Amino acid sequence: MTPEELFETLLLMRKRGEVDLEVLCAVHFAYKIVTALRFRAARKIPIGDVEDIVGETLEQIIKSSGRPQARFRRGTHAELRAWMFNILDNVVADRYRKAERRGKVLGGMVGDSSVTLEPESLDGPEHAGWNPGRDDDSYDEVEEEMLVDEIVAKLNPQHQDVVHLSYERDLPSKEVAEITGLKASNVDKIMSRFYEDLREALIAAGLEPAAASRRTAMRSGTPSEETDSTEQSDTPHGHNQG
Amino acid sequence: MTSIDDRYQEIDAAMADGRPFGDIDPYAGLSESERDELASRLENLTDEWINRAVDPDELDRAVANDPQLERIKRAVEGESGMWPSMLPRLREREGIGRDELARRLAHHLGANDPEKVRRYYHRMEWGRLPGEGVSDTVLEKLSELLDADVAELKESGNPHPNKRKASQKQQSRTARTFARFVGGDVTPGPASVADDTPQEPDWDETDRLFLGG
Repeated sequence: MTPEELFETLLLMRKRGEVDLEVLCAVHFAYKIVTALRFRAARKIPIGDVEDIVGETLEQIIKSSGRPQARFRRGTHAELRAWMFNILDNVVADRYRKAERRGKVLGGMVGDSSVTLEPESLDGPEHAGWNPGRDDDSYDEVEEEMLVDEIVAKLNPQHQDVVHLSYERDLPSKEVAEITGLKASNVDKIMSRFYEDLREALIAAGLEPAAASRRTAMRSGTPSEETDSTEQSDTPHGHNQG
Repeated sequence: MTSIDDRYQEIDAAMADGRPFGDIDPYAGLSESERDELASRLENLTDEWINRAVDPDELDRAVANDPQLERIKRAVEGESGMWPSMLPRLREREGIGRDELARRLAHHLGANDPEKVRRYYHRMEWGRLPGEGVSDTVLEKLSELLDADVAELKESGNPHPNKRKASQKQQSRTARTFARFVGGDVTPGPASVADDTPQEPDWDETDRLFLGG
């Protein structure tokens, strides 16, 4: 299992409250990345501070799996690496900034030339989420994500999984069906209903679907070939009733 | 004088053996240009390493040998948010042992029963004390002792809001799906961690500080 798949599964298990599997995924994921974090930290800070910084970075990463901006969006390994190193760099920057403010010496080497902080890690957004593909029009995407969260929260767990795998992971219906045990046609029906709800929510929020996510705009206007209008009327609506 | 090749091979062998790097400086004694070269090679090495398959035994050994992983495990499976990772880390940063911190905390709280404070504090580090029950007074004293931000400390003690025990049926279904991914057997663990929490009518002041929110 790749780290990208692990992190995604971690999000899914967390969402579903499956604690034992969430623990397994979190530890497995942490194991895969901890050495890379240690090497990165050791290149930037004195060795005496490495474990502290790596520990805090792991905490931030695991905690971030509960935040919408950590959503997996076609993440690749390079993007995963950039995301986790960005978190580490921000932890380092925060730590040294705080220490300097308090006049504290860390590892006896504050101000030492071996402590190299990249400018972007000092000035960049705090713990920017791993959100590959985000660009300058990200503001609308953030709002879209919030709307997606609201819609998904009303779905039952099975339909949440379908949306997660299809919308967030961008997996084809066939793969989503294989993972969830549903028929591909049902996956399409669920997603068709989801895009319909999202489109309505975007319009209600004053966001033109076309101006928000290109992906959403494309999909909400073009349902899957396997789904026709008559099927939509039979769509098993996954909204939670309680 | 250690060459980059020697250093790289040493690290490669240690990774293959599953030895963590907590106290080894991979760049010690190297010039700036050598550090850059080694950093680049190590990045490639970890890229390969990160994508290889990990069997459950290897993972168990890693958790047993690496305090960072063991703490993350306790944090994710416990009821105290990230405290099982955060509190020992902050404590080590300040160079204070666990019992010593508990003793100072009891003193700062003016607690009549330091042993009870010690037990509660241990449960915070072990993820066995629900974060929402720990009072602001305790967290403020801890933040002073650990030189930490009290808001951050408080926020870190909250487990994820979606955290709940799934039904056995749902767990089994997901276990099967997950087992397909990881290629192993996944058996759900015990439902919860036992504790000796007294009932509310029997609470004293210390119980209220650690359980009453």
